[in-house]
Amino acid sequence: MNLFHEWPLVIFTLMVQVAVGSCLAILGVRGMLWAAGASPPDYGRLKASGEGSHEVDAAPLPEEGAPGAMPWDQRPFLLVGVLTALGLGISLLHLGAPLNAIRTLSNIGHSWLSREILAGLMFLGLWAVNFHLDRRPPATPWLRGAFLPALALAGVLLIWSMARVYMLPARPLWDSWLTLASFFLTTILLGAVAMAAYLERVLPLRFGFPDLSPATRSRLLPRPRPALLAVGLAAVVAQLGVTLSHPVTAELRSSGAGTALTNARGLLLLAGACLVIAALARPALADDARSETRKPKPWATIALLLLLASEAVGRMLFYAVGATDSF
Amino acid sequence: MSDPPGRDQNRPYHLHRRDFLKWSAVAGGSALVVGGLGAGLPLLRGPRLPWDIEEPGVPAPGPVRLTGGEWIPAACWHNCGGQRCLLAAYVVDGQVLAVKSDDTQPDTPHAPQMRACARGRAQEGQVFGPDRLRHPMKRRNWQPGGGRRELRGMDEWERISWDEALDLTAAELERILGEHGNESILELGSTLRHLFTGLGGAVINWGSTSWGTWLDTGPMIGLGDGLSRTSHNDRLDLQNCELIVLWGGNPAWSAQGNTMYYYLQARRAGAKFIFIDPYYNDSAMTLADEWVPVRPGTDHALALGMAYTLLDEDDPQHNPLIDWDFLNRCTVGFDREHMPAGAHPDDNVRDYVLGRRDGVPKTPEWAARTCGVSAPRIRRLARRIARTRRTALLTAWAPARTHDSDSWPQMFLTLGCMMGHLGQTGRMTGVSCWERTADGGPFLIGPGGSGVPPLRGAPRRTTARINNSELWDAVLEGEYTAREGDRRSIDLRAIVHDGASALNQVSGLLKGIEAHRRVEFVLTLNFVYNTNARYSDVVLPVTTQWERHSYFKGNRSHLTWARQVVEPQYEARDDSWIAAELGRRLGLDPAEMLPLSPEQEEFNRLAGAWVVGPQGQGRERLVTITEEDIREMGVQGQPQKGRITLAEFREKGIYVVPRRPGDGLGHIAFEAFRKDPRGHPLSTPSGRFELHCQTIADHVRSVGFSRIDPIPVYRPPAEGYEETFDDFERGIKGPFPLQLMTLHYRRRTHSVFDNVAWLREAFPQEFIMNTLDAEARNLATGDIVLIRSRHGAVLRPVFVTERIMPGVVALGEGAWADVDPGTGLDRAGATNVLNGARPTGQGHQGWNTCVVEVTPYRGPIRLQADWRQPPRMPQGAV
Amino acid sequence: MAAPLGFRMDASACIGCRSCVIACKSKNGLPPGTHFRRIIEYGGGTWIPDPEDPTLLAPSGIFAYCLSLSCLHCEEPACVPACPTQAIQQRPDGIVLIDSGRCTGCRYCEWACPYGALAFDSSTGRMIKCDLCVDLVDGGEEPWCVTSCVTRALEVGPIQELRARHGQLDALAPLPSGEQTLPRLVITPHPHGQPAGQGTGRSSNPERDLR
Repeated sequence: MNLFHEWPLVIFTLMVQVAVGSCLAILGVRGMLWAAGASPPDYGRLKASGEGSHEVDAAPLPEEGAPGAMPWDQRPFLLVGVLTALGLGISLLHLGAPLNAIRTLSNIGHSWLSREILAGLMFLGLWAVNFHLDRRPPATPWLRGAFLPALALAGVLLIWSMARVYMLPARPLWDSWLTLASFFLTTILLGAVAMAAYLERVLPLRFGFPDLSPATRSRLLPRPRPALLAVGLAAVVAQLGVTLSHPVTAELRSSGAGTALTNARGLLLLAGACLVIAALARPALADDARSETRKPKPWATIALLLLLASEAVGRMLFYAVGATDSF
Repeated sequence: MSDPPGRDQNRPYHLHRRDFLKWSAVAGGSALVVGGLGAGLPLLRGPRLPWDIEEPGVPAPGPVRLTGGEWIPAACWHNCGGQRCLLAAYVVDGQVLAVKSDDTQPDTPHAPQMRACARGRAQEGQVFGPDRLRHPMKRRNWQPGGGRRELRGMDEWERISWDEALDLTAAELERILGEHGNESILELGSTLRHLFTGLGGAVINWGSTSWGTWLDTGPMIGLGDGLSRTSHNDRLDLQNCELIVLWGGNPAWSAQGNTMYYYLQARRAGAKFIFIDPYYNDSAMTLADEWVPVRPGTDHALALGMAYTLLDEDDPQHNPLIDWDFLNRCTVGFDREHMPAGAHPDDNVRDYVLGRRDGVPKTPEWAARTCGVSAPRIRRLARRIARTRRTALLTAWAPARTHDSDSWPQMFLTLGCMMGHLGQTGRMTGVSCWERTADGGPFLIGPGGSGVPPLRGAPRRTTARINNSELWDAVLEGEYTAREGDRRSIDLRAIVHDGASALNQVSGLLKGIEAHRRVEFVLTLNFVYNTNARYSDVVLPVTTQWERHSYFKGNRSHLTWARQVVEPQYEARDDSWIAAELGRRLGLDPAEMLPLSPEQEEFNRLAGAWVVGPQGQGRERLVTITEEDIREMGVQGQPQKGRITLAEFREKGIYVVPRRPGDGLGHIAFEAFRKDPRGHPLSTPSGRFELHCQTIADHVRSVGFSRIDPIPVYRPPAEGYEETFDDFERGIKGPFPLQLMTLHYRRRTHSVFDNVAWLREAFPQEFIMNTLDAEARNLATGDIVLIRSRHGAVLRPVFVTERIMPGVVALGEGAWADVDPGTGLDRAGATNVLNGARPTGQGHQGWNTCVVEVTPYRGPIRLQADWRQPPRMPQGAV
Repeated sequence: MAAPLGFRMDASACIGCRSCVIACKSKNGLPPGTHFRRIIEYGGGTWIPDPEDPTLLAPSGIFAYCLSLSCLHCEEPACVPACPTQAIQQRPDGIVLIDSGRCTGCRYCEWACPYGALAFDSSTGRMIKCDLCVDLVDGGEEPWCVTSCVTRALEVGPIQELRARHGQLDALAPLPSGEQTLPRLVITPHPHGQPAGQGTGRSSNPERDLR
């Protein structure tokens, strides 16, 4: 069993799944914030106010280059595109003749691999459009409204086609709807927990708003974060079930090979779930004043790392076991 | 000297010939040409890309690699034990691009093409492989007298010129001969034999190897040894058999070519097959209707149990199992009424089997305990073979390749004689092995003599002969057994490997390495960097048959004529040239070692080539040779008329005697003898099959290692099943509870071909073990195991299978030893590390008797897959 | 339209000797690690206490057989639609060919093929495969694997004729059912041959690497 043989694909699939998952999570949070009162298209922007506090504000954007003029999700949204592009780039390393990569779009009519690449490029393209529109809002707001769902749809199609690539009759260990379910669950759980971790850690500490007032924070953060964690938790639990019943796991069990890694995969998922619960149980940012001086507990971040490790191990086993001949 | 063009100095094992493969050749069409093909695929084939080597288009009709060259009949010259096939090499500009086999005639069941095995087809892998010896080499720390001897096998190599190599070799041989005499040089090959004969002789080795105890016992009791004489009927007669018993044989591995095809033809004609073997081998897989697993080295006990059953149950009226008429007329020694002159009447087979001679009846129950076959099954087996009239009772040499088995061929013969399975159509008893597998009878075709005159001074003056099992002890301890009661001292100072692969292929390899590190000079002539070369001081590269003028080889009904395929590779030279050059330096006449030109030798063989006449009457010349042919060849000779033209023979490289049933070319072994034993006596003293044979008993005694009875008495072999126990009677196992078999492995012919990557990949050197034994040791296929015997230890991946008997393990013989200097463990799985040198009986090698233990290996040594390993040839040194 | 060609493989005669494998390698110049043809070894059975003598072990149902397998030039090849670059195409006579010049080396065809017929050529980074020795077949000759077989267990010819003569069996364990791709293969079963999908043994491909 060679765990690292398909390493470009392990990295590619995981990167893209994190990217699509995060993108969906961002869109979800935007939706929540919009529902909470921020109005599109500039929902959820933070603006430095004179008193050194920040508020969710639907007011016109601050001037270009003004201090603190930072869309709250600009960094993670940027990361979505970077991860997708990097993932696609790394997937080239899987190719024996990468110069011919452009030809992979030749068989959209029949080949799921062609469709996967097409979906990947569409997702990346739509992301770029949205990223641009975020920075330079169009005169016609409905245009933005149209591109956002399109991006989400492209992401779903990308994961769908990515999973269908492996659902080959010749690979009985892959040829299961559980593969599709597993790919989507990976996408959801990594995306949701990643965004929760971002909200928990990165937003207040790294983006230059150490002096957010508790009141502002309590208005901004409590709702999306538990929601993301809850979605993540549900996906982790579902992923555990899917993993346990997946043909690859059954094969690993019957052959006795890679037992330690299979167990590690499961235990890491479980540990991730526990950490997600811990994060849910203990708000990262308390409302009371005493917590002002304490650093927030990085439960969701640790959960993310554990889950990433679990998914990486799982994906390596997926390739190592499933790609080999049945005889 | 520069290398031939296109040779990559540091090529890994696998050949890269992609240069010749135009993977993107275009059939001269754009995408549109295939419109309508491909089941309605939309042809979105895309434009030409800037980096395209050629226009993307329809796949070409195959990569056409083989153009612009010619097919040359090529030699497959190894002692493979198979049918001796014809190869043909496709040569373009001195490069061999592909190798095929016989396609020169239509392929029919009776006259099939002589198709080659995987090894022959991979021949290019060794001729052009990275382990080819390229230049003469000298060990860096060697000095006349030995230098740092302990570094042999680990030292660095220096490339030297031919002149320097020949000068220092001649000087060192001269010094040793002068100081210590001819009895100080051990010659373990034969290609310099003319040289050493001219110099007054050298010490040589002796002893049966592949043939086990059939070599001496077979002819002495009246059967063929299976080597020079067979007891096998013509192959077409196999199709008259109702039952074929293959006892300890696996022709699918050890006798490749058409042999399995002949057996399959017999099966299609209705024959049933019984395999008696510890391993459900690939021949059994293909043919067996019944498999009787028997422990190695206990075949004799099984046969005794069967003989007892026949005696016990035989009733001439109602249940005739024994052919008393045959026994009485054609054998001596079975019962006290039919003893040879001078024999004690008590020493008869019948009384021994029934226990009257030693008080132990050789009942199936007695046999079962030793051989592992249940008593009821032994009885059924005996009945079935005895009752099936047209039975071939065949064995290979493997069961006789065991210690103390000098009486086994006699026991086998006894069984055949009791059942009368000799001398009639569909009935035969004897060896079916090596080139004689599945076919017997006199040759129907052959080449002429080379015309090389016998050497002056012949017969060769041999100073001493040392048994294979005492070789290394003779070097290390200075003593050997000349014959019974005659131990002699000897002072060996040099080892010369002129061909062969003695260090790797004789029992007691670790001791052999020690012996090589003891002497003053080790010389190797070879074409690859094998184990001999590795432990030498001076290595001289010789040509392969592909680089020599011609090669003739055949078998009973075909003759091949292979020609030179390529120029000598690198600086390789013929052995005869080396002999002449060394001879010249040592004061001999070089002309005596090169008396004829290769062209003249070739002509002589062609002119003398013969083929049997119609209906087997007389012989006729095979080849028509014209005056013009003789002129073109530039040789001396007379024109002659033959069956085929020289041009046809040259182009095809093969002539196959056409065969069909009733063609008069068939053969029934011992047919005339059976009809009239007095009129056609055998060459034994009694003229009959000697089930009591004083000759073999006297011979074994005279050899001086052990003694046997004149009748087939079972003796527990050294390192046999009994020795897997501390206490056999109470069933308490000892420290070496498993029995090791050493198989003729498909990857190699003995040690040849071990370095060919294609074959390494196809046939990994795996250690074969039963599932139950593996489970008891917590082992799974692919685990690295440490296999220990009393004599050494090797590391190998284990292959777990139900196809081998529990308690028996197996490893293919011939892997090039790769001894880790730190631990003394052999990483390659060379079986002679495990097989100890243990002289018994007629001085044969008892390779299939060896007791071992197997444990998981958790040490620091890592093994790569065989075909991924780097070449043995030290890279960069030369 | 040319009659589609296929193989007949006599599993009752295959001795697993790999003459066909090496002949194929020699013709196509394939390095180790790359196969157009290979041997599948399959076997099983157990050892039980001998019913007639409990002190001994006896073999119970031990069997083995070999299958020699290359590209089967299927009627519905899975590799052709899978290839994202349309480098794999099928000729009217059924021969599946790859235009390595178009291939991007994604190895997806390798996964799509249930028979492991496609090979990655590490020297060019592209896939290569059995072309049924189309250069010979077009000239009226037979592929090298067929003419190399020492037990005459391989045959090539119009698949309809082969099926008419040798039956319809196109799979034995451990091969997958032929329904997936409709391989142009007729198997003459070994006496111990087990149906595809219902095998009780296991395969033991020696091409496996060290663990």
